[in-house]
Amino acid sequence: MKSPHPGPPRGFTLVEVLVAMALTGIVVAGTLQALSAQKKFYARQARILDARHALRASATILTAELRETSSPGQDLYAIAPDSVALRSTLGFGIVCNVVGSSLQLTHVSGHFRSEAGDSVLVFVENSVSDWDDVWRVLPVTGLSMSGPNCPAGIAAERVVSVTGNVSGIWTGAPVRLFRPYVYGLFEMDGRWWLGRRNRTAGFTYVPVAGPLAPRTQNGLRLTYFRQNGTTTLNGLEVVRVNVSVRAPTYKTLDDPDYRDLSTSVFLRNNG
Amino acid sequence: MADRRGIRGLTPARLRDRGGFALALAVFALVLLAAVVAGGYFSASQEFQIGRGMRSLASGFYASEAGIREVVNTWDPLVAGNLQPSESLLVGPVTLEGGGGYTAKVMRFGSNTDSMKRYFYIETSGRPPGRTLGERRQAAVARARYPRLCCDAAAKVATSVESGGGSATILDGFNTTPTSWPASACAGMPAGNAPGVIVVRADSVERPNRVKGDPVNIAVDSALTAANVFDFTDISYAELVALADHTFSSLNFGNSVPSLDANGRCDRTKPLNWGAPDSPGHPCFNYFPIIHVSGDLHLNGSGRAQGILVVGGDLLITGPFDFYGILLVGDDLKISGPTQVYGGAMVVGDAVFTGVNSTVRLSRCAVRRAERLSNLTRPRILSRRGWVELF
Repeated sequence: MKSPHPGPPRGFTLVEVLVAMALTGIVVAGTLQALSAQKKFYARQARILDARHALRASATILTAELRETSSPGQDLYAIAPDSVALRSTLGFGIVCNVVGSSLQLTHVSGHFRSEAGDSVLVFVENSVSDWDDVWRVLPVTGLSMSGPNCPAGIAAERVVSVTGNVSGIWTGAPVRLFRPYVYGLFEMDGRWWLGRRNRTAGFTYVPVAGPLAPRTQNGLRLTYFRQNGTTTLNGLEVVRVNVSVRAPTYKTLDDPDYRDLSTSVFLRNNG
Repeated sequence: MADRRGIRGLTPARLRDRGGFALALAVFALVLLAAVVAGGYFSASQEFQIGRGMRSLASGFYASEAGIREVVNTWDPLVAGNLQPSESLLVGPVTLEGGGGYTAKVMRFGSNTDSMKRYFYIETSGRPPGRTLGERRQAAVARARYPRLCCDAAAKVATSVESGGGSATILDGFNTTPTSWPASACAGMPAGNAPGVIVVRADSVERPNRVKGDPVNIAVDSALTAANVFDFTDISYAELVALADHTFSSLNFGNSVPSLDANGRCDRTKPLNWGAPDSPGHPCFNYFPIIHVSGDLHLNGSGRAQGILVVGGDLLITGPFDFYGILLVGDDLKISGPTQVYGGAMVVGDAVFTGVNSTVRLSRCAVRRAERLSNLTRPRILSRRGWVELF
């Protein structure tokens, strides 16, 4: 005859417990290994992404600056394989009136602020002939965000005070505000960056993109080309610039891996 | 037996009651796997979006740059060329081939130095294909020149003027408006008569009675030579040739074929489209091409054409043929059929009239329209620093 009530539940045998523990250990070890691999994967991906960001930013900044220059107009002060000194266009406007040594501007775009070494390039026709037209350089002594209206009631968006000869500057003359900048590879805190500094004495590099590979690993390489496709280091002959940048992804700190990006830019204002 | 079975007697009770963690472990593993996949997807997605954004920006940049070039290349002198200082004109939105497009604003600004030049500020905003963002803006300063080619007489002939018998006028310096042109086409144009011909010596004209003008029929310029007959004040001969819409080594031309493009505009790319001088309502009525023929040109048949003809060799016209504009002939001008030229002519060699009812008539309106509505006044971006990227 069987009991009407079931007996107490049976416990696990030792073998069952050992098997369960072994299985659990295997699963946990596998999980930890997967997590560790995933962490490494993320970290590697993050480093690659960071490197690509640095590459894109560096190439974008340099190509944008170089694109606006005019080599026959002497906008390239000094060129080297890992640095370039140039006139960096900060803003653009059109003269709507000339009062004394101040230029009132409309149609202003860009970053019209003033810093040491800033100048404006103003288009001056001189005579009827096209051949004596020039972009006259006038150092900036002051800059105001507002001023009296131009003739015909047009609001002046900026008033730029300059030194130098303002004769012959006509209403409608295009104006480019520029600052002399040097872009180059420089080291800070053990890492290398694309740096920019005002070319005027007293300024030092500040990082604008990076980190990049060190100079020995060609972190930044600029190759300048003439019209006929040959390379040159004469700033007056440049029509195209190859910009090659290399950024580390650091497989380990002692054994970095690198990513590269190259692009080519034609100088748009060569004429 | 029944109490040792599970529900419906299918599952042993011992198995049914066992407390395991396989399900929890499986769920945990799945979550972990999902996290790994999501992480990878996130990284890839972020990179993809950055890449797509960069491509969009690049596409927008080039669309904007293409917009500036297209505004200049499709310049309509009748519209944009007549902007007053500070007036502006909106272009587009224009869709480019392959997607993307641009909008443009053209504004004229003034120059006090030279009224023969006009300056334009062209600002474009380019957008990439599709609905992606990435609009980029650029601007350019362009200069249009308004050079004058001629004419101080119906014709300027460096060598001689020859004509057969008859008394009909062959060179007429009295200012004439082409009869087929509406008065509005010539409104505001300069007026005034001129000599019938300018030559180096009075006896260079074989039959002076067939030349008429005002205040004199024949004007003498003793300094005139074959070398300086094309000395224009504002533009060189080489510059003029460089502005030609179409170039031929030699040509036998019957009649202009004014054709339209897909948008219903005058198709300036067709080499045999030399305007529609007889059809004021036609889009090509205001199209005056500059045609350069380095060798000989033969205008042959019952044709019509307008523009600026720059011929390096002989220009032979066996009409009836009517031409409206400016003739620049590097060698001889030979007209042997009934031909009417409204405008003016400059000839390095001889001007020979052998037919009847052939006249070169001074038309200041035709000359000015040819100068103003041709490639001569198309603006060019300033050679240095005329281009700027806007932010």
